[in-house]
Amino acid sequence: MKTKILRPLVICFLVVITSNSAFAQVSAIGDFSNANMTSLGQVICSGKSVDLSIPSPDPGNSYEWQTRFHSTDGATEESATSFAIASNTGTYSDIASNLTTPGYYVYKLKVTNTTTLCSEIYDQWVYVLPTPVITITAPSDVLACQSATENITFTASGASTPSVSETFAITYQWYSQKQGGGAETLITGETSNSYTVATPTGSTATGIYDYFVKVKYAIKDCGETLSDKKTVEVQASPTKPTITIASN
Amino acid sequence: MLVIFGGDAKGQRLYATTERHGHTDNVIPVVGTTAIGIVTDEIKSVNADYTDFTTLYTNSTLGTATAWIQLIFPSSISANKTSFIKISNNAGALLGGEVTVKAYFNSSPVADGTQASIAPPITTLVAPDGSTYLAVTPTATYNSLKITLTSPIALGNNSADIYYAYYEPPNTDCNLALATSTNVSGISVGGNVDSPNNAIDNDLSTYSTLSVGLLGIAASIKQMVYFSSLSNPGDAATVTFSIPPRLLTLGLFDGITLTAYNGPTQVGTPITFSSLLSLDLLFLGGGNRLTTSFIPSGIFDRIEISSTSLASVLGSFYLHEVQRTPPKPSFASTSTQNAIICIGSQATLTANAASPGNELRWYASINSEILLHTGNIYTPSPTTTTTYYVASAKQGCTSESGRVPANVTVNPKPSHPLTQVTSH
Repeated sequence: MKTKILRPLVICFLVVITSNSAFAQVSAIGDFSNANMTSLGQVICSGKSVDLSIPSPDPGNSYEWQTRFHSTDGATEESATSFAIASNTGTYSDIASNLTTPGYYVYKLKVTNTTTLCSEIYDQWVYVLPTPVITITAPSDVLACQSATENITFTASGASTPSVSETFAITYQWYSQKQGGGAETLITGETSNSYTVATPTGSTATGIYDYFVKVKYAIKDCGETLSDKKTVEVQASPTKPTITIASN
Repeated sequence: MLVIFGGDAKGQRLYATTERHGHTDNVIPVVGTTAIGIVTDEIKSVNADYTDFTTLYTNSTLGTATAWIQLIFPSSISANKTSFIKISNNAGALLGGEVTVKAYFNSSPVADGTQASIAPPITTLVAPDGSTYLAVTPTATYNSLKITLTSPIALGNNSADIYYAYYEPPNTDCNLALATSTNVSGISVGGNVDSPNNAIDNDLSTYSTLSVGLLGIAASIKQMVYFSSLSNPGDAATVTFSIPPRLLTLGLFDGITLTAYNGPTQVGTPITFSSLLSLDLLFLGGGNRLTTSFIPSGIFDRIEISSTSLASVLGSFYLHEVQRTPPKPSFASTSTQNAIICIGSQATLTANAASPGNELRWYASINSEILLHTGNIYTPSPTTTTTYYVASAKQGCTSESGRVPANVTVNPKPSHPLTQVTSH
């Protein structure tokens, strides 16, 4: 089949990567500004509980989780967020609905020697991750001609809701899916924040294709989050393609 | 160093303020006057200047002359209350019995009054600065003291300077010792008291040395300390001493006793040192000084330290200070004396002073000189279990009672437990 080469459709775009330079990107436990963050167990996925316990209690001591504070900066306990924890003996499960504000939380554990009654308050810090939001920037929805070569670049950018001070590294995986019953197809090797569709090609059937990305936090597997979808319509040759910008 | 006599005009002392005086001469017809007594500057022993003096002078080539002055107090003084006369240190006249003192009642500048008997003997006291005092304790109410100088038996002349006479009401000033005397009796080889005044100079670092030597059976070596007023009921006799370094047992101190006196009268029974001490304290040894207090059974104005042959093994005994002080502090309960705290918190030790006008002083050890706190309540925050010591003192006075320990037990805080965070 003779391929008719059309004038390449040049789509100008500007990739804007925004990052919060005040905070290094957090991709491992050591990247938290709060040095008390030492274990991945302290990193809590959005929508999950915080379950506190004392695995090896000293029989000479009593334990009680007493108070919880939220902290935006990992240092300042926000007194307005003070929450009195119900009486307990060292085991406490803080349900997800109490933790809808992402960021640091500090739990105050009172340890009391039952003989001397000497006590001390110890801090347990956790970090509740925000819900990731991923959006794709594209020049437009694209109507392309079959057998023509055009480069269409999508760029994904992460955000979180509500926003937090930290920026968390995320990993990407791009997918395509033909509308009308096509299978979701993992695009092998496309794991960065941008993806250039070298398409349509002669091998691509006409139709409308969705492109989207699934992301995960690098620090901890909290499951995948799906981005919005961008569509490319591939029309049959030799009809001169008409390029329209679809409303999104 | 604070010497008691630095302030001769102590406000609480009550001085004789008027006088009468006279002399007797020996006049032989034809030959003339062979013995004469002269009193000069008689007003100077009753004026408000305590540094000047009246001079009694006698001179004899034959027969006897006397010069006398009667010092009259503005009000009468009760029986057995000791008065003191400051006199020049004329050892010859004092030892020869040529100075005599009589007490009188109802005296006035124009009348001798009625003689009041005196409990013998009249004691001669030498103060730390060398001043000499006559301590006179009449056994009946009196209001004057008459000092008479007699010409010497060996003929020639005599003189005595009389500065003033005073007595001191109880509970005044810092109750510093007035003077001290020593006495070695019985058969003693090498028994001696060196520098006795160091025991009353109010300087804890200097000491009188009682060298026990080889005391024979029934021999003793004594040092008596005199105060110029009677104690208040409950006051303590406080002795600060040290001993040369050696292995000690309490028994060594059995032969050393403390006895209080009210004038010449013994108050209660002698207290053995060993009953005041505990072996713990003795192991301080090594020249460390220790202060111990006991409360005689009655009021007193003298404290005697006596060593018998039983204490010979000690060799020497250093008497740093003999003082009259408030009694040792007391505690209302064991909890106020033994506080238990968690590390990082404040202990409260509450001791009681025996009477108003006293204060409590807290130290880090039994002989530390670094004052930590003054007051009944001490609130230290030690980080380890610590024993503090508290002494009583009259406010404004350096002399202190023996020290009483008070403990703060410090418990650690529970350690940081392993905590676990999971999520679901």
